[in-house]
Amino acid sequence: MRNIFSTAFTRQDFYTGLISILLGTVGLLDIAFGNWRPGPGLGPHAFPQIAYITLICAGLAIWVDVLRGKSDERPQSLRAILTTGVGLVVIGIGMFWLIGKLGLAVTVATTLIGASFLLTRDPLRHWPSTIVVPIITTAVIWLLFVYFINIPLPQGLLF
Amino acid sequence: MLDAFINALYLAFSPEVILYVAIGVLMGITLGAIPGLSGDMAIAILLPIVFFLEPAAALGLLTGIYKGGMFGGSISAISFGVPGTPGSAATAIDGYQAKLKGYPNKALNTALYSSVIGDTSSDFVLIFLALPLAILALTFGPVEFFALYAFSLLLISALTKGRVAKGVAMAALGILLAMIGRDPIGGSIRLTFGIPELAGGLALIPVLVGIFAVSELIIQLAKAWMERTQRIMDAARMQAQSLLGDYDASQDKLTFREFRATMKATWIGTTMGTLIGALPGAGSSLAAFISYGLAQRFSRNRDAFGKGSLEGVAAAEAGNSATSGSTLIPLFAFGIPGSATAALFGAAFILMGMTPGPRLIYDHTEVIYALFLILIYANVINLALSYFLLPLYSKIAMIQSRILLPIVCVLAILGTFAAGNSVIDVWVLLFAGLLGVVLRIYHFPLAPLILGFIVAPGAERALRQSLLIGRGEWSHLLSSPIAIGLYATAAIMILTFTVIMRERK
Repeated sequence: MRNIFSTAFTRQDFYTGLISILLGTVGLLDIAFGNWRPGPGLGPHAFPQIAYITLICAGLAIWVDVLRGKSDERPQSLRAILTTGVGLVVIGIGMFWLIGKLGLAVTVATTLIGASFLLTRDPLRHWPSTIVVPIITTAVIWLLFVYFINIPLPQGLLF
Repeated sequence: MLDAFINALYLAFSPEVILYVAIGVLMGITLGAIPGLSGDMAIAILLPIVFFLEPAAALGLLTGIYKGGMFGGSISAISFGVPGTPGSAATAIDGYQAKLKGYPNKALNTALYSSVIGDTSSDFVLIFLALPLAILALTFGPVEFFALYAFSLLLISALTKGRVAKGVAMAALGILLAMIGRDPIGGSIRLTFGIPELAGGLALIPVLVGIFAVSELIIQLAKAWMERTQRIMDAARMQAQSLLGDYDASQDKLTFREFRATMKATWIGTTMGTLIGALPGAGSSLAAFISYGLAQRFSRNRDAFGKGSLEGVAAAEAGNSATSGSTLIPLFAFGIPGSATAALFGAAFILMGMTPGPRLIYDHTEVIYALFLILIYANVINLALSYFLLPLYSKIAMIQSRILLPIVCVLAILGTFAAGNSVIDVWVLLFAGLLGVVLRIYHFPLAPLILGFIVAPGAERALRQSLLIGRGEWSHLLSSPIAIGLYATAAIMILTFTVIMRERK
């Protein structure tokens, strides 16, 4: 029995269950002590309350699974995936900011060429596709968004 | 009724709509064939753009992508043993073995024909069932609707790939995301964390595109960065080239006799796919594997399964494709999306000013009839285009996804901004993408989150109205025989599928 509990801490899903329980508990505390205005019938807090209780129950069920030896594997390449994610958010915000400064065509072409260079390395790098494809794509995007759909793209700074 | 049908004929068969369907089919096949990309992702990315098209043209484009993507996934599954979409994983078992044994063309043709048969049959089931179910749904009150929402959430949490507890947690998280903003009955603001821009709630498009498409793109970009996808594809390409020396194209043509021999498996796949597709959360992957297992059990050549059997390819592909029509049944009849694709179609309806649900067919009869016609003839276009372009398709699967991924990312960001003309939507998109990445890598299923997000406002309204009518008595939720029937059916279905899944393991 002691062994089961000690190995549970090493399993990935012990922590996913913990996060689920913590999220539910913080939400319930917010409803109990936060600034929630009453409303007709059950009130606006009732449905979130049900969702928070469900989260806690699901977290406990994940823990029961962990104690029974069931746990998903530790994610591989976690750092690379999260770095790419944060990188994409930064590039996305940067691109949006630059559109207001440099215009759609220059910004999108620069972003796509930069991304193609980053994602392909020698000997896989293929010059026509890393430069020509982004430029053609930029032209198609410009035609689609500016000429056909006529969307007002951001003119100033994002922030 | 007849006038509406005639107008629908004009809408569906206008040259512009036919062109959009054909473009959609080609896009769907291309993206479905490239591992890491999918028809669903293309639909998500193009959602903001459909806002600017005529409804019939927009639905034609999305339908074309959907149909093309369904078959496209089997191309890389058969050509390289790498399923283009999760639904084509079962096709890869026998399809890739058929390729290694020197008859890839027979396998691709079998996949194409069984996919089209399964898809078309499923579309007819949708057409004939959606209207009667919608009529039934019009008699529903808040108690029945709450039972229906609970039924869908329970099923999608229990049946989606992964563990039930994680599915339930995701449904709860989806509900909480939908609670951000204004309370639908009292109008008070909740869960905005002091950010005034969130008072209107999270928009559907950035959440859908972020969770489904951007998160997958981030993971694929990370893989491209680490060059893993390239290695898999290089290995498959080298293996394919090494086989070319012995390959005799004249021997690799599907005969009528071989086609007829796969019909039993195709119909097993069609039946199972249609039934499973109509259940919220069950999905095409489950349908394909169950169809494959049943076809093997009822086959005279069961030992050939797993060794390049065309029956195996037919059952898996028909099972996968037959979910396509029936998965839209809950959306049309009750306004509840039973799958990721149905959620995307639901979002498209909302963008075009049409509310999914029982009134959809009555309020927009011509457009919905036109969609029914498009669903049928898109299969014919898929069949015709695929028949002539089949030799090129395995080359499509060799397109480097690393060149397409940044393009799709840029389209997602610009498209999301275009749909709402809102900077906050771009923020929501990027953070929904990051949330989706974290959930994917920790093996949380995303479909329950999206269903929770979509049905939560309706479910909350139904629950609060039910309790107002029942003067606060929770037992009022069990006052309707239909509601009791729905809760009981959900329990029976979950138990049955749990037993089936245990047997499969």
